[in-house]
Amino acid sequence: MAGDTTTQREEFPSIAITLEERTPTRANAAKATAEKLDFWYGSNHALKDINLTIPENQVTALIGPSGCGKSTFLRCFNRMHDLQPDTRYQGAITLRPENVNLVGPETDPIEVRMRIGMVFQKPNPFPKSVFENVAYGLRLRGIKNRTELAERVEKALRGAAIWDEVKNRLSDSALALSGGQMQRLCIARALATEPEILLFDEPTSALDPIATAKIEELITELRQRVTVLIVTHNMQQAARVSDFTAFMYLGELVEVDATAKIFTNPAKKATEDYITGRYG
Amino acid sequence: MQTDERVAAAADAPSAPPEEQARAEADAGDPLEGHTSKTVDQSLHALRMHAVEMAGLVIDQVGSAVKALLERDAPLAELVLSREPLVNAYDGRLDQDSLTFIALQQPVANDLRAARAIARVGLELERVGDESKKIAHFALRIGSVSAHDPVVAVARHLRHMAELSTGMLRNAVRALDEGSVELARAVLSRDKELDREYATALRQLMSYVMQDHQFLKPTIDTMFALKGLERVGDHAKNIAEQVLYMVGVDQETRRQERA
Amino acid sequence: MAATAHMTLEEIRKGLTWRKQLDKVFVLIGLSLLAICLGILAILFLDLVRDGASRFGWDFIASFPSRRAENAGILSAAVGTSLIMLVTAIVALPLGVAAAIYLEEYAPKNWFTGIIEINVTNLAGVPSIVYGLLALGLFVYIFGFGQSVLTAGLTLALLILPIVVVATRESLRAVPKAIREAAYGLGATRWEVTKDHVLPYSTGGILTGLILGLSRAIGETAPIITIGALSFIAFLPPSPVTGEFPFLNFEWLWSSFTAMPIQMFNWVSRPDQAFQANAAAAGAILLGMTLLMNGVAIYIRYRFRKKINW
Repeated sequence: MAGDTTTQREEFPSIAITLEERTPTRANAAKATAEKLDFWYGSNHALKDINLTIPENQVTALIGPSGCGKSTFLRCFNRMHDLQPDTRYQGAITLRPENVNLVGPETDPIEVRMRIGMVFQKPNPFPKSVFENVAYGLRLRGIKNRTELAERVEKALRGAAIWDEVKNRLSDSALALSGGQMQRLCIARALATEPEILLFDEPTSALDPIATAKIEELITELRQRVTVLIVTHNMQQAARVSDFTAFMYLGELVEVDATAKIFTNPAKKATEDYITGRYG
Repeated sequence: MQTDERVAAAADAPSAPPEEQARAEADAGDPLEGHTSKTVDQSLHALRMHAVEMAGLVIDQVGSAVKALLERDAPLAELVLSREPLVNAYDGRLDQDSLTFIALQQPVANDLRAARAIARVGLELERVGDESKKIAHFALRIGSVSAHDPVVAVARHLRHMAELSTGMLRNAVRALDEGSVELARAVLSRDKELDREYATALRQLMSYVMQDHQFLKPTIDTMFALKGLERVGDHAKNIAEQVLYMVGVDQETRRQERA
Repeated sequence: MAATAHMTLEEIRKGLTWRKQLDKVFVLIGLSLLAICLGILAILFLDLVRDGASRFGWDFIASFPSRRAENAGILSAAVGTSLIMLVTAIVALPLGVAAAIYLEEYAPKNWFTGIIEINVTNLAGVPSIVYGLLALGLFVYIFGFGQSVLTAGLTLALLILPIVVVATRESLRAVPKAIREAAYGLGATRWEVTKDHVLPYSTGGILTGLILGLSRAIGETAPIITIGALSFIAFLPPSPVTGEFPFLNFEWLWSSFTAMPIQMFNWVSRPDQAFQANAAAAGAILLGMTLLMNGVAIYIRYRFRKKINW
């Protein structure tokens, strides 16, 4: 071996090799902030005084037991509740940078849905061709030019990591794809319109482990392009995929923090009980 | 390596230990790579790189401490002592990172063993750092050379044991980084040579002290220094055992190979 | 005292034999009843065919009615029926589909909508002669359409409207909520969701419903008698297609007409035995047309189901 007991002092000066954070956590700006948000389904007070900031270009996960309100909260972001009768919002979800209140009565739900995309639990592609599925959102926005459509469809399919698998099958029916592929197609469909926030409602609960892994990997990559809010009943998925995790219980926000902190040393006992499986 | 290269190498992230060339990126055959999730790949890679960097630092600590003792180089001893918190910081970091990795990524099988092994390696390296600290303290206490110095009497052994033990450390950490069973086993067998050297050094010291009672305290300190270097070898052996664990060798076999 | 926790194999088998017997008994009963119904239908059909056998042939189809049985044919009746069906379809389809879309997609779910829905389904149970009376007063006199193809078509359209509405609603409902959510999620308005997704995927069911409605209407006699279908028409309504611009002519809407059921009724009521054969032949042909339309409906449903499987 090299004669290193004769290390020269100069070769290891006291640089104080400080362990700088190799992956610094950027202080991200807020993309959306829920402030004093309440929500009622009829007389059911489903969300109680939610105050939560969704940081830009990060993945925020919502976890909690069934009925805690996480899906309800998610669907406030794109006003899906407006499709049901007898629903009421109170408070605000402020979208930056224009500071639009997403749940305000003065805000048009259609406009909200054009800026905020959603991927659902069970893959739900339209029974049309792969191309038409992804192009639909663009057509709604009045884009008719074939070339432009083709370019943006390709970009979206690449963004959803499915381009190579479907590039020769663009005119085949979307229903001929496997479950995992269909879900990635749905992600592409939502990405095509370049939303500012992408909402995921338990996106992999209907998929097998390999398809799940691919989509989790995709979600972590997507954060560079879009802000992600994901609801999952699988805590381990939240741990793997998200930067921030919010724990909800019975319609209230119990705790929200960096995912690493929540899963190694959460501040609230309720959170710890839930994630260690001591709940209920 | 040139000074500035080594400085640059040490300051950049991720870097190779001082005496080694920058290692090529793990290519096909590295069992810890290739996950669908790049985050897992990156986390494991970062853990290994931190362990390797820490090892580089600690190996240098050992060498410098012994050199400071042999040459009565007080500033060098001070340098070793000043870097001790850095060693502890590395250990704390490895511990925290491996914990976070396990909590967030729920690793199983070889990934889980790797995370646990690396955390334990950090602990072993931290203890090696402690041994260097003790030797450096001794170097400061002993003052200038005298012809009847116990340190002078066993200087050759001290030097040789330092070379052996740091060599073992280096190979053990390389075994960790490459997941190499052969290298780990080589470290385990090298320990015998270190033990022999230690035994010889002790005998020398005993015959010295029987001739001359005057330097009893420094003699005891010298004995501790020799013991410390022997322990460094033991820590290297522990690290090698962690490598076997990481690779999947079962407990029974590992015990036999240690003996 | 509790019995043993689980059954032994013999006990399971003993009970099972009896249950399986019951199972088979039900299958037998069901099949017999089905056979009886089909058998009756087959017998009727064959009876008609046998009675009318002598009259089948191109002249029968191509001749006008006449006082002499052997010369009488169903030309005017067949053409009249076809034209009426055309009007019925053209009127019933958009009305029925639009009503169904409104009820299914747009109407708020309150008591008022509930009343509308009940009434729409009840309309299917109204005796068809009542439609005839309504049409007589409304279309023939108040609107002044007279006793024409147009009136007949409108009357029958009203008659089958509930069928079309119900069938359309069922097809609209069959479109999964997930598809609508996906479309809304992309920022579509309610009309866009309906136009681009719900309607296209329901086409199979809608067409099926329409054709089933038509196959009911084709045999309705009472309403069109009431509004004045004549039974001895030795002429055809003016052709809709002319040789000169604008190539389409709507004169035929206003013309008097006859229809297959009327013609049959007329022949059957004649004392002359010879006309019975005519009636039977016409009946067989009418039955054949109905079966054919039902067959087309089934085929359309099958094709659409293949294309779209949720």
